[in-house]
Amino acid sequence: MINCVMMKEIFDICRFKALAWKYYRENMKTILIFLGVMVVVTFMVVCKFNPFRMEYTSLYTGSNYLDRYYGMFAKIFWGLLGFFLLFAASYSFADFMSGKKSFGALLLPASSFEKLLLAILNSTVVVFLLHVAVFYSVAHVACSYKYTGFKEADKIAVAESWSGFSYPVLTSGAEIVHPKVGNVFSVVDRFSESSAYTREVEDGTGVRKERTVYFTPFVVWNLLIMYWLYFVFVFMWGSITFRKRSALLTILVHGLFFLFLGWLVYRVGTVFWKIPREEAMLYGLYFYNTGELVPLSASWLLLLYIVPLTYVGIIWKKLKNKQV
Amino acid sequence: MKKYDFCLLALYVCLVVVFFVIAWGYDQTRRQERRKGIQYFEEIYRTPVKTVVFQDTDAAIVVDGAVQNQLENGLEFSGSFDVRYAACFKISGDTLVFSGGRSKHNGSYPDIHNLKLHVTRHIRVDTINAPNVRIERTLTEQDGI
Repeated sequence: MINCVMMKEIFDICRFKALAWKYYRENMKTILIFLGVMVVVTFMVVCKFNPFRMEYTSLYTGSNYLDRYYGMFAKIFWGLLGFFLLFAASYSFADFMSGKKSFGALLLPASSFEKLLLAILNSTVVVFLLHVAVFYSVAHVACSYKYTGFKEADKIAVAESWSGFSYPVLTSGAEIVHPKVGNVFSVVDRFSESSAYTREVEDGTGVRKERTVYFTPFVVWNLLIMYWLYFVFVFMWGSITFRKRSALLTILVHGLFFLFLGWLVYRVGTVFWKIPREEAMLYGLYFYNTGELVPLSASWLLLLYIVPLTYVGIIWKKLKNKQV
Repeated sequence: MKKYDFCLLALYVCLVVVFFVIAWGYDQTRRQERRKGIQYFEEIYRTPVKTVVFQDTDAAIVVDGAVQNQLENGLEFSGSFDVRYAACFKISGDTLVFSGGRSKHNGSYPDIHNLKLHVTRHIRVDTINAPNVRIERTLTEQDGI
């Protein structure tokens, strides 16, 4: 019974729903503006910043036109997702840091866990789903008119359009094709396929055997999710740490810190891994070692989940302190 | 910066320490292999050798003459050598036999390609199916003329 009451103090679904409803109702205008910016930015990037200039590609036998734009769309999708997540995460605690709104936000009758959960859901799942929807619709529209493929044999002449670009005049009934956006998530499978590698490993009895080490789709998916959470939580940490220009300051603080760490690793590394002459030379003969290192299993990388989890723990602690 | 932010600092420092521990482990393995290789060659230098035989190998080794070596047994290596192939050298009696070694590295050049052996004239050098071994010392030196 006591446990149940304590659980309700930390998280109550009805209270959470009310909190979310209040948040979306009060911030509807900002959310719509953000959605509009997402649509415009995605459209401009997908159209290579010029939606009025059409791209015609003459197709030859054997050319795989439909897949040609896959790489471009995948890069745009993941790049823009990072960009939008950065903004969403940087403004996730804006109400708590603003002088006017902070009292209202902090005194709201909801637990700090619920407030944190809502901020996390908004910065991760909601932005992600919105981006998937916006990207696929906008890219589909852009593909349907901007990028066109035609058979070289169907071209009669080249004409000049009013906006200054040249386009081919095709025979009537000529077949034209438009590229497909494709599944941008298949980069995970492609990466796990290409990252499979084989190493010669010596077993306990001294016999050398070949062992294949894979970045399995499971590991790659987890690394992707881990990086995604890490990225979001870093900027959420910035949002609750700095009152103004949180994104800029977060990048600056982390950038400077990583530079310092890199310098430290370099300095310590040069001292540690300096090979003394007697370990490398015997009279005039220099010894080197090209033996391939057997890496740790990629599954160990899953332990890195501790990094985003630490960030979220610190954010929660800071939020609780503010509330107190 | 609050006290909690130092937890992040500690986290990153821990990650760097873990990285160093793993890298240090790899480095120790490599150093150990190198030490083993050097010990192998020290053993060769201590053994009185009368004949050197290169047999069934693609290694590119240059054999050169030497009037006098620093070493007592009359042979000395120079250049560079991958310790992985130390086991290709085998001593049987007063004969040093070199055989084996992976044939090609990336299909472009043999794994052993920058090794030079300096031998004094009392050591005989033979090659059996070793197309890349080049004997540069003159016949005069070989025959002791």
